[in-house]
Amino acid sequence: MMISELTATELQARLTGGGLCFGCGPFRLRLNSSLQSLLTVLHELYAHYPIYDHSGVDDYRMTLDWASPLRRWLRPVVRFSADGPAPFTDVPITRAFPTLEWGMNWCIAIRAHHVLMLHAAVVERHGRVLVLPAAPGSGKSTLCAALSHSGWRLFSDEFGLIRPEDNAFVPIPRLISLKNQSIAVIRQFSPTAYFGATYHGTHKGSVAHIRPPQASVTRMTELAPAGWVVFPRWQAGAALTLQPIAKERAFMMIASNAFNYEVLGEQAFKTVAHLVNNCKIYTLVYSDLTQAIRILDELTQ
Amino acid sequence: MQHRQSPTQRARILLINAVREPQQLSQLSDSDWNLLLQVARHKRLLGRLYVELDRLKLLDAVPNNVAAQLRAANNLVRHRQTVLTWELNRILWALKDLNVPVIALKGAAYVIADLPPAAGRFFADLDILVPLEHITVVEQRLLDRGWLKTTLSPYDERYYRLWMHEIPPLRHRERESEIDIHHTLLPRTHRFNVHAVTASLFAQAHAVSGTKAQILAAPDMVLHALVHLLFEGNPEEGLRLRDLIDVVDLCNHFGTEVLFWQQIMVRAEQLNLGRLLYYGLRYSDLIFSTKVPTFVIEKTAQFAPILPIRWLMDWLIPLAILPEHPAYPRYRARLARQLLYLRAHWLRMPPSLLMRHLSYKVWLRLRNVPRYVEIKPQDLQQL
Amino acid sequence: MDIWQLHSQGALHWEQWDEQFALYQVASGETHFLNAFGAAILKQLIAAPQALDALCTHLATEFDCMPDAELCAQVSALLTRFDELGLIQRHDD
Repeated sequence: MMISELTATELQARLTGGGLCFGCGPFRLRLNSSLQSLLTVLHELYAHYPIYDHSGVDDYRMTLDWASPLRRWLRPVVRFSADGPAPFTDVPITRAFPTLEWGMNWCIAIRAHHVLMLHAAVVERHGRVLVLPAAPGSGKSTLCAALSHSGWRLFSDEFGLIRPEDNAFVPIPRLISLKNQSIAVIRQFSPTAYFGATYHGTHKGSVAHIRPPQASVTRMTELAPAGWVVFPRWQAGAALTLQPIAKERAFMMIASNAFNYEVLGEQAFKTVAHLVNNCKIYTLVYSDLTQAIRILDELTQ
Repeated sequence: MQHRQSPTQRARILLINAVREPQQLSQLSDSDWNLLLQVARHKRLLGRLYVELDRLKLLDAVPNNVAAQLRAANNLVRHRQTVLTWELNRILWALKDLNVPVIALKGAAYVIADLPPAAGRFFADLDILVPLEHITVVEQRLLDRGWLKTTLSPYDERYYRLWMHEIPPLRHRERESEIDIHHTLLPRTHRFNVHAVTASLFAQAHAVSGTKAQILAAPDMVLHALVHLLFEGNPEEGLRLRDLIDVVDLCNHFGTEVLFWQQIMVRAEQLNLGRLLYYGLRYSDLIFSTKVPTFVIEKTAQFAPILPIRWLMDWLIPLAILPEHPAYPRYRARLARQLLYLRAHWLRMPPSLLMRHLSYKVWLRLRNVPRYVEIKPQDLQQL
Repeated sequence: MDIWQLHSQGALHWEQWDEQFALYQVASGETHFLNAFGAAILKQLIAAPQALDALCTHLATEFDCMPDAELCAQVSALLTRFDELGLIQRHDD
């Protein structure tokens, strides 16, 4: 059963009762909230995530609620927490949903040290994944949104999770989060993309979320090995270039891009070495999204 | 029967049983695991559960995502242990021609000597002990070899230099871990000042194979673990359960020899730490049923406080040290933690100094120290 | 003259791509990146403990250059750095 199959009342009963338990990739999440405004957005954007019953062991237990009873009425602010003190400052109720998304990222980033976590978008085709590591201004989310609406399966917009045991990438099809200009770019490029509301004035400017395509959620337990690593860089007016990069440089870039390379020590060294030695690795400079997608399609034929 | 337990009792029993009888962990229900993972995470004991299950070959007998969460916690622990032992290695390298004895304390000692408390235990920083007369040359040498002073406010700097038992922490310019260099086990201002006998800590210290660092003799090590348990801590955590578990592990490990018990009683008296030993053994026994020989219990009874204080401590300490149910935190547990924190501070400093120190800290908090991090912590900037 | 050898806790994992090396130092958990020259020094010391002048002679042969003062200064600087990183140590330590 999926979240979209719950009625609003059932959804609310779960959120305010024992918690809404649902699955995203390998993780089982439990969310508690009494915020009415979350109901519609969860119903729409979390629509395809499977609902789990209350038995079962949670990976992350999250609460998003009024900062205090009083703060519900007086300049209403909400607070995110997960098994401990709140990691973020309280935010106005209007930004509750983006905060939930960041909170979930925060949970994964500080805890999931059983896998190597790259800060990357990951998509799959022909049984292999294309890894797009992030750097500020790289436009990885834009590319990721475009690719996952052009025949690629979305693994993740944010986390490249690799199991050290077998070097397989683990899907975690969370929402794709777009910022500022890229929102309009994707609306135009992928008319089928399902957008949530746009939140203005966050610490990252305007933010909008795209629901992961349903197939990426139904196939979220299907792992895949890596095929390609492409370091993207968006540059206004730049000619399209795709250039292979030296392995040792790729190693350095991937290791420093990971959230927990140091934590995993020897396992991380071996995992990154395996990735570098078994993938084709490029840098991509682009200004036009259509061209970029075409060249990635050709590369991975 | 489980339904008769209060939520707090259930949380406590789960955690204590997990530590005492890890072989039972494979029997837990999912809802037990949900609670146990929360309290064990809060008490930083997940790594220990991983190590025990691994030793018992039971990792396959627990739910998959339990094993994954424990492995994740243990990876973090292993990383910290590697980083801290390596920091110790580099310190010894920097100091090698100075001929200054260096004793590794707490976590680093447990790891290099492969003692039971090291198993899955998370350690934040590296603590070493060097004789007071060498501390200036040691600090200068480290500064010459790439370590830096951490920036402190003039108040904190003065606090360390004048009143503490350690110098302000140092950090290597290329590495992340902080090192605390102690010259004695208790602050200079402490009521139970043991400074006069610090030299004997070095006289009794043991060599460890494979390193030039030494470790404290068993009785001193246990007493130091007790100092850490009962004289340090912070108001949020109160007493740390994992510090008590260190004491329990060490007593179980060294306590197979009668000589250990005889020595620790003599030593406690010499160091004026008899009361501390009394409390340590009492709560090790009450909470973890640690085997303490009868003659030791009888002998340490002489260090017990008067009855009303004993009642008070018997109420406060388990309340402050044992886990609460995360969904039903009780006000009195918070109060107990704060009272014990005040007590620890009270013992550390003369009253006038304590007032100055605490009011300064309160002032800091009122002024600018934020309770929560901004939503853009550095490592999450891209999220 | 100091005799240099691999550090006593010198377990290392190597990855090599053409003339470039990545090195995982098990004891510290650190990853180091070396060029062919740095790697050659370490490999010489793994093969046998040796002093600076012997090392320079070997390297001069391997890289087909003169074992002059400039080479020695380079090798010496790298040895100091490797010593600081705990990759190598003096033989008598």
